[in-house]
Amino acid sequence: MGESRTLNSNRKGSWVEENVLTKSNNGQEHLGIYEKVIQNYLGKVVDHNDETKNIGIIEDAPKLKLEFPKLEYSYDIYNSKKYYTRVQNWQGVVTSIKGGSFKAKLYDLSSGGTNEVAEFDLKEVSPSDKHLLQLGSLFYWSVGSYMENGQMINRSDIRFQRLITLDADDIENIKQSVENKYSRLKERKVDNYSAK
Amino acid sequence: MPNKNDVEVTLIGTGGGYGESVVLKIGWDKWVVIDSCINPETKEPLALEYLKQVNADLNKVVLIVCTHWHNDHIKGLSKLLSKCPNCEFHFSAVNDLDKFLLLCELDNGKTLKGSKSSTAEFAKCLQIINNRGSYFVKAQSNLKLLSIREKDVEFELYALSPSPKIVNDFDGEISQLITEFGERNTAIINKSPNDKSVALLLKFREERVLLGADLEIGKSEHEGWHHIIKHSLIKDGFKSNLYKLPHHGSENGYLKEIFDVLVNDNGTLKLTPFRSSGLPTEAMLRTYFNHAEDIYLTSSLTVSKKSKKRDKSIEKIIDRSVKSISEVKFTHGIVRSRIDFTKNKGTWTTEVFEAALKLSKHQFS
Repeated sequence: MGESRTLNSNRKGSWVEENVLTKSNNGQEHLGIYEKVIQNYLGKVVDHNDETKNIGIIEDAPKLKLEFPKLEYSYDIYNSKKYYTRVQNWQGVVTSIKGGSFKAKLYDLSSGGTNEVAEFDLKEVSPSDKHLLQLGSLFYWSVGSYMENGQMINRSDIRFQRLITLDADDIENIKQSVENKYSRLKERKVDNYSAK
Repeated sequence: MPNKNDVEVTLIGTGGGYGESVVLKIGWDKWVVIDSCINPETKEPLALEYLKQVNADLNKVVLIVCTHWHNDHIKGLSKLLSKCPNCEFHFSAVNDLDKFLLLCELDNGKTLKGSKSSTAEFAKCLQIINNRGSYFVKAQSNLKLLSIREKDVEFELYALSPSPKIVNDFDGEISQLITEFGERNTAIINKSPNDKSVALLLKFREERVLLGADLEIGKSEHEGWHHIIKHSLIKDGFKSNLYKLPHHGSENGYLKEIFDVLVNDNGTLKLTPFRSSGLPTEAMLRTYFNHAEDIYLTSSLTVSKKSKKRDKSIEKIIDRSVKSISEVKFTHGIVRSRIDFTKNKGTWTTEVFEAALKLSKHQFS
């Protein structure tokens, strides 16, 4: 049995993964573990690669005696995993690239509000993303701290957006949708200036 | 609410590059809005906030103009448009609108949520016009966009740009962008939409108001302000007493001939600073003070280099990860000018609100 885990869908594009058990230490969260065990014994099969996804119910599930795991055991598993405590995410647009750095306009995805401008060292970009860095490139920047094996570790990640390559058919489809979408547009022709 | 007899020209602008918008009241009760920018905290278009503050009837907004599709001039435009049910939508001319819309859709599809894309905002506006069944107009030089007669006074709003050459060149640019689009990993970077900006001239009686948008001077007599000075048919010998300076008072928006031909010396000059880009420079302010005693700004020229306040531990990680980071502070101000149009020789009265201020020549001497 593993711990309950969720991917935080509000932070689009983030590598952030939160363990729901980290948010407080009250007994209610521990009960969540037991409920999960009960669910499993009652016949729900859980995909252990993604425990938030229930992949089905076995009709003739065996009736087994419930054995609750020891709380200490759950904690051991939990403490050995990474989990994030504080995060901040942005979407960025590259506005200039000069020498060994690039500048970007940053849109705050965590709290919204005003924008920021930042200059990054090119070393901050991973080698696999370097070819994506160009004027106008979109990227996501996340900073945060996470716990690993009881150690608090700080992290900053820049990840450039990888976009699908459109082929001729895609473009033709979009062209068709444009024609449908704007079929009722009406242009008014206006007068050229004529001297009085 | 302005007096019924007042013509009003109001520049609403921000300091940090969040944009600008111009609101005009023409005749007894008609309104025109040129461009849009938003308050980044509330996401509300500032022009809409202003119209509500002065109790303007949104049904009497007859025209919304999109001078060009830069974020600082287009953000919130679709929201504004959706609140003004009886207006036309005018924008910088493109020869082949279908082709341009295809480019907008491609850009929108490739930009996450489309939220950072000015082309997406433009497409939304056209969607509203399409669904509503109202008209759009492609604005370019020498076109009369609006004509209203109140009693014996005629109000006319003219587009002075873009020039035919710029419109034709853009056609080629769109084709090239679409051709390249399949392989690209970036949002569309159109490096020069400023040259497609719609500069406007409002005429009534002997009064002229010149609204410079972000129009730059251009490289030849067929582009930008050079084209207007050399080839515009709208010039009629009367000069403007009110001038919204182009492109945040930048050097590439200044041409002495504009003051020789279109703007009176000692007229009222207004501009929106773009502090994060360093506009306007002190040198350009000095240049403009050769033509005026005062210049009205929508916000001060100070630049904050401070970063946003966050959790200390996050701030530490940020500091270690970047060479520099600073918040683009949001401030906004309003510069409003009014004149009684029923009087033959009226005088403009200009007031400032919020963060707006008046700079005087003696401060720079």
